Amino acid sequence: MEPPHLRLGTVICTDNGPNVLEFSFVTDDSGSEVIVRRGQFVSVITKHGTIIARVQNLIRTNRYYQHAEAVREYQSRGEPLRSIFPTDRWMYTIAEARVLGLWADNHTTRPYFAVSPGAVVRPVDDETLSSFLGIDNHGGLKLGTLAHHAVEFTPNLSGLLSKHLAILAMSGAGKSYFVSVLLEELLSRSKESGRLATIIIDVHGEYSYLNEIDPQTLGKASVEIEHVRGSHYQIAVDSLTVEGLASFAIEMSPVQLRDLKRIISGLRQGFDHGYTLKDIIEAVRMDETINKNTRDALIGWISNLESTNLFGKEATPKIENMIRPGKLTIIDLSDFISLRKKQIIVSNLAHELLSKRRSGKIPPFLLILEEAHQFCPESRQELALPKARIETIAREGRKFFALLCLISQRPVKLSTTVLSQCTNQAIFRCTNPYDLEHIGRTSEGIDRAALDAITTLEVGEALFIGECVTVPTFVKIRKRLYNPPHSQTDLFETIKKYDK
Amino acid sequence: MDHNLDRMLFQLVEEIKRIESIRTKFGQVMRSIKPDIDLGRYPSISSSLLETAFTTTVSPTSLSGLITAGVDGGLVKKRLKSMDLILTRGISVVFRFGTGEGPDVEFVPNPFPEPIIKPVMQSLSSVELDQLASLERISTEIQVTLNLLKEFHIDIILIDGSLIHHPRDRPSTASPVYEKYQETLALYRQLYHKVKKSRSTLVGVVKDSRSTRLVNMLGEILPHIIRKPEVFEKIQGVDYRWLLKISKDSDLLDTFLDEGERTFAFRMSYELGDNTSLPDDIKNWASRIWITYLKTAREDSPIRIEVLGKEGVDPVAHINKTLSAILPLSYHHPEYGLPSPIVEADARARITNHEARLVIDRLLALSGLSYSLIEQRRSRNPFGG
Repeated sequence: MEPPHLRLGTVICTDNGPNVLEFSFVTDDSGSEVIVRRGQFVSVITKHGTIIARVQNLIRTNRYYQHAEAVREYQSRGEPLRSIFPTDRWMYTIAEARVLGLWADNHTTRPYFAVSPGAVVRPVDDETLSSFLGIDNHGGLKLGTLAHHAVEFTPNLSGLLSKHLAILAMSGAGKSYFVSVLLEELLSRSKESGRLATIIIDVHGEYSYLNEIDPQTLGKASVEIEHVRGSHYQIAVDSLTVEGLASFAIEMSPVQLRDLKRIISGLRQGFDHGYTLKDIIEAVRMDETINKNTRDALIGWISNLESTNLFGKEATPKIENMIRPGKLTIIDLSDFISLRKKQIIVSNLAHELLSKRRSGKIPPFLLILEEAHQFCPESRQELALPKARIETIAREGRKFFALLCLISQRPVKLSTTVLSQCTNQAIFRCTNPYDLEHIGRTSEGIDRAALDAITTLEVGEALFIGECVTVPTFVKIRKRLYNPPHSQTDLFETIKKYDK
Repeated sequence: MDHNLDRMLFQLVEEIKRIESIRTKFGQVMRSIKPDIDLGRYPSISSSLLETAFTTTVSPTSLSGLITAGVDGGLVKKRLKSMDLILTRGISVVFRFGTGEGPDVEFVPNPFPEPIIKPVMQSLSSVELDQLASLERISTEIQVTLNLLKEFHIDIILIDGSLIHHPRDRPSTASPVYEKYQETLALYRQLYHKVKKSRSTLVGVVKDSRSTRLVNMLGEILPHIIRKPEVFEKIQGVDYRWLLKISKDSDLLDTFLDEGERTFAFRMSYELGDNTSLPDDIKNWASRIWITYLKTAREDSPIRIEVLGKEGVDPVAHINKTLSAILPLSYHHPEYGLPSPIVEADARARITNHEARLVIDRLLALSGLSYSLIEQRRSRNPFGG
């Protein structure tokens, strides 16, 4: 007889199993205890290797409660069945498991046989599980632990980020918390283990607290963090091409574009130390060759752009200075109410980052984009200035290690093109059926059961899918090492503070 | 639907309606006169009885502190080409009622005992094979009960079925099954002796009794009872003689026993009569077994209960005490009035076809024989069925 902790149950026959892809087993628990959990990895040892499977569902059965009419009649005197029958002795738990792979000779192969009825189902040992899931135990990012297992989830940097990452969840499910954990991991990396430059578009000012982080909490002597307020962000007008400028406008006509090109070409020759939008307006006004309607349209449009106060002679901050290995740059857009201003900054930044990365002027970087559905929505193209540029990074960035991390609480509103380019996804609790359907459509390797499980995830629990794991994996995100000192997340505490 | 079949079914329905109508009317009469029946006035039956009242109301007692056991046996016969297989399984479930939510339960020999396989190489007639199978099942049940008595102190042991074999299970002295019959009788003797020495009460619970002894007794006393004008007036027009001829005890009693009510108790020896071929000592034991019918559930027919009397204990008090514990074990389901230990034992003792099939398959695997060599033609129909 084996020690009880080495056994979880025994494979049983069902109408269509065990088959190559799934099997069911009766658990060894006595009825009241829970020894197998939904989402848990289990194994069946065979002579060809170890079949690794995951519990998809658990069914409890009891012959005394199989006939509704008998249960009702027996209890018609007001006493439970248990008062006269040993109902607990007929309680069984049937676990339905989906086969994930065959672990043999230290590598995973596709399962090609069905486990035998009567086979013993056991827990998967931690080492095998880590190897099977492709978790990097040395040098990986310590993001949490596997749900139902004492195994650290430490995907390697390359596996998690090199082909873009999407973080999807409903509000309050733990997205921002996870991003904080991810940022802590990126900041705490040593030069030897490889450091990535990180830029985060902080729409709500949630990450500015990191500016005050004590490096020792991350086990480092110093960390480099730059906090850039949106109102301090300035785009150098002379760095913009006509097409670049035109991208901030809605449907500029070819005639307007041609005239503007000519005007800017003239300005470039006349101004050695850069020019402003006001200079362009003045030049348009003075140019007599431009048709009156075109002139008015151009002046109106550029004046409108000028009123954003985002444009000037010099670029602030300078991208080349801002992007350095191991450095975190927080672009804090919480000062802006105008979505257009946010979009202009994101659009410009995305363009600058990619072009400078292409030319090798900046190191590989990770651009983290909060509320990504506001910047690259699936529909309403005319209102999404940065969409094309983000899509370009999504499509082409990986070749230059210009990496994206998109965060959204409305996946259904996020560009399908961008989402489908995010090879890795961290999906937190999500209950909106449209969002779930969208996630299911755009995520390869996510099955119905995993999709259903997303609705029942706890706060701080995520489903990782993509290249960072061999199979979709449920992870409990670890605690932050450094917490925001003045965070007010509780309504009660907040109203008390204001109601003194 | 075929017209002939329809006609036949229609006739059958009419017949059923007629019987039910007479039975209901008879029940109404009996219900009104049962409190007044004094059995002591009828010498032909009173010598076998202890009570003079026709019915007695049983008061349910608290189960707290009661230790009771249910014993049942499962049986499957498999006819193979060169031999027959008899599979039996006996189990006892011990219910220990305390102050907790429900009973604590133990099992003898274990919660899921394997079936006992008895190969029968001799060539037996169908009747003999049935007798042998039945005796095997009884033996298994008695063995389990004997083991139960060794291991536990039980207040009431409820055996599923009668406390003595059915007359049809007795083979002729020349039959090859006779030896098994003698063995079974020896086990009965052991059981009665063991129970006698213990403080346990042995009870047989017969689910679907086909006995007509009580009906016959009623047939003997009713002509006297209806001499009273007021009774005669009530029963006038009810063809009770015909009804008594076609009715079984439990069916007839169902028409006038109330829930929680039992009939008078009579000795089993009275039922067996003088012509029984049982050995004398078994006959003696049979005279100590008391039979009564208890209506445990409102919509279920009364169950036949056989109680082995205790020496030095007033049988009526003993029966009432025993039934006062059986009633609360049985009255929870309005349409199914069996004691819960019997229900549990029945579920565990039953040998399913699937299980029997596994045994045959294992036999084939071990012997290397094929289905065609071992299975009868009727079991090998290539089209199934």
